[in-house]
Amino acid sequence: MASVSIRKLGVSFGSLNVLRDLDLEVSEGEFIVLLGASGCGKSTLLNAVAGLLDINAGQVWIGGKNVTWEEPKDRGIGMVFQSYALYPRMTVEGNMSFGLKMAGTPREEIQRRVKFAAELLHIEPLLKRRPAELSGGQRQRVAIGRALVRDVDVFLFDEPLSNLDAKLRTELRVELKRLHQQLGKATMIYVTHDQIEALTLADRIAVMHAGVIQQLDTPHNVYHRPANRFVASFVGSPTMNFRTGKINGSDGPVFEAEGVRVPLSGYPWKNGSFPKQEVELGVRPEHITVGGNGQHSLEAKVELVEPMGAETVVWCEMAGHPLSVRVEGETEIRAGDNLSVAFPVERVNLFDAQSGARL
Amino acid sequence: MNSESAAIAGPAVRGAVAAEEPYGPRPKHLSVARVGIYAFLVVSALFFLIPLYIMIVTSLKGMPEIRLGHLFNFPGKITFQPWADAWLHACTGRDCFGLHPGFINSVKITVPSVLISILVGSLNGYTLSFWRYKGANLFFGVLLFGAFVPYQVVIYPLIIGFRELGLFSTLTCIIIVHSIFGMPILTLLYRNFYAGLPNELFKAARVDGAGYWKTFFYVMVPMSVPITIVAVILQVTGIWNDFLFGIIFSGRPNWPMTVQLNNIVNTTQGVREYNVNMAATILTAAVPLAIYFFSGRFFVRGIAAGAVKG
Repeated sequence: MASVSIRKLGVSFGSLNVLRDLDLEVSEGEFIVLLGASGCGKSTLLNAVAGLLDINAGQVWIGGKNVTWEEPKDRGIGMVFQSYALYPRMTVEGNMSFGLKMAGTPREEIQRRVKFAAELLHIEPLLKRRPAELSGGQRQRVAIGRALVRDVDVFLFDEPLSNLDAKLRTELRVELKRLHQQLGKATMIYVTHDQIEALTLADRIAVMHAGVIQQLDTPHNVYHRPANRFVASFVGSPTMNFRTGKINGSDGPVFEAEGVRVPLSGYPWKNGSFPKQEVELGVRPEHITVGGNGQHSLEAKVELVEPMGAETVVWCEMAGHPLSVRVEGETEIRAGDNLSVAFPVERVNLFDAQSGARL
Repeated sequence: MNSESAAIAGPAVRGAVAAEEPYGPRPKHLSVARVGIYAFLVVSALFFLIPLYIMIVTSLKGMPEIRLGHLFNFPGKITFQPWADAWLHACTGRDCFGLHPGFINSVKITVPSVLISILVGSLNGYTLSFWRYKGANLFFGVLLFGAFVPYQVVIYPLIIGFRELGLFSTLTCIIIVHSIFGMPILTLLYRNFYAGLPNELFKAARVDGAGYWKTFFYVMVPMSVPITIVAVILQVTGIWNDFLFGIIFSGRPNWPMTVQLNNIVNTTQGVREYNVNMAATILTAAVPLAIYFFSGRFFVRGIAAGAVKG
């Protein structure tokens, strides 16, 4: 069983630096999700761990061994790709056993491992079929099985669910999590741009932007305590509401912007005290309380209501700025209504307006 | 009436009220323009088939009937003697063994040339698509350039080269020549085919521990069937129909069928036996024709294969 350690990794394509001085420690048995928009370098990082592309600097350690110069097959990794990448002319069984055959594993051993993986993934009835005769979900199961039979310690997933439809994605997501629990000590590195996948699967999420890890933390902290404005805006849908304003500290810190006044006494300041500078206040749509008549309530005008079944997103306008509020599914709010809303201090996030860092 | 009940009542309402309104499948009309197009196509096809018709009927006539000069007439008395003569007895120069030695020579030239050129071409394409080494693009450019060099230019240097190697006028010589000249187009063909395959497939094979050769033979070759059919058709017809390289590089004992056909048809002594000439020509063209005939379907499919997802 193995940990993965990436040290001062640098990757560049020509003159374009995709990754520079990147460090990441993944402990044994951990499920790490690399989350980011396309082009942020997350797949590059995964391919570098797999040894599928040439790196320019740094080291990759897997299981306490420096594998920086090793071939992919010698790194003890299994990989699952977005496009499944099954060998189209081989049966499911052939696909799953190909790696073992290449390694010269004895026949009985191959059969035993293929059987084990097929049982785990419920694909035994498909073993004699060709990939073309499988549905998308089945193909991806086979691809996972192919990684599984190789009996490796580290699994790399490159957006494995992105080609599936929404329902299958949810199913397979649950199955992946179950698989990780069943395998016990398998380390998994999972690349996705889907924040729901990241939040549901990960032990820790690494949010990436422009080749830099913005925050590496538990899903809870990434969601509730984003390290900077990028993470705050990238994670969560609908996205977090932001307003730029000033902190007025004459009697206790108060956030002030046009039409907004949020008292901040009790906010967990990172530096212990509050700064008197331009800040951005962020609050998630579901953390806004609606209908309270407290002294800190604010006025918002409803422009659009989006019912989503289990919940409803209400798009409002507050002093010329858009504001989204998430309320329960069966709501009486209609377009044109006036809402009184409040931002509870324990739920707001404050960021430095210049650097974007959390305050 | 809400929308649901309107949908249920739809067909009945339409049938009763508005018969002319568009409903269901669009009716098919045979327009004048379409008839014209078909007429034109049929006439064109017949026009281009006239030479073939003349060849076949002439080859089935005896010489006395041919001398009457009725080119289009169906043979009065069908004879297969010209075909037998063309295959077994027609004279090329002093030898009178017909075309069959040429046929055997052509097979001996075509089969190895096709195999070697396709093997090398597919390896080139695979390497250029997946193993991007430094200067790969330059190499590919040079190879492509080769496809546009008029090959008459390089014939003389090639002759000198082979003479120095002691290979000139041998079977090996002509096979090497065909393999070399097939390479640019085959490399291009295979490179474009492999470039259309997902790169992740190659990565998966690498993670599975397959190296250069194993990835090629276990993963790439089984997927290359459609494009290989195209390559086989191109190469077989090209090499079989070749005349120039055959007469220059193969040497008299190895002359392919095309060269021997020329010797039969262009003989300057004796009577011109038109029926034998026609039969000999059809026999020589039979192999590429048969290949087109049986694999034309796969040819089109293979050409289109690059656009289709696996």
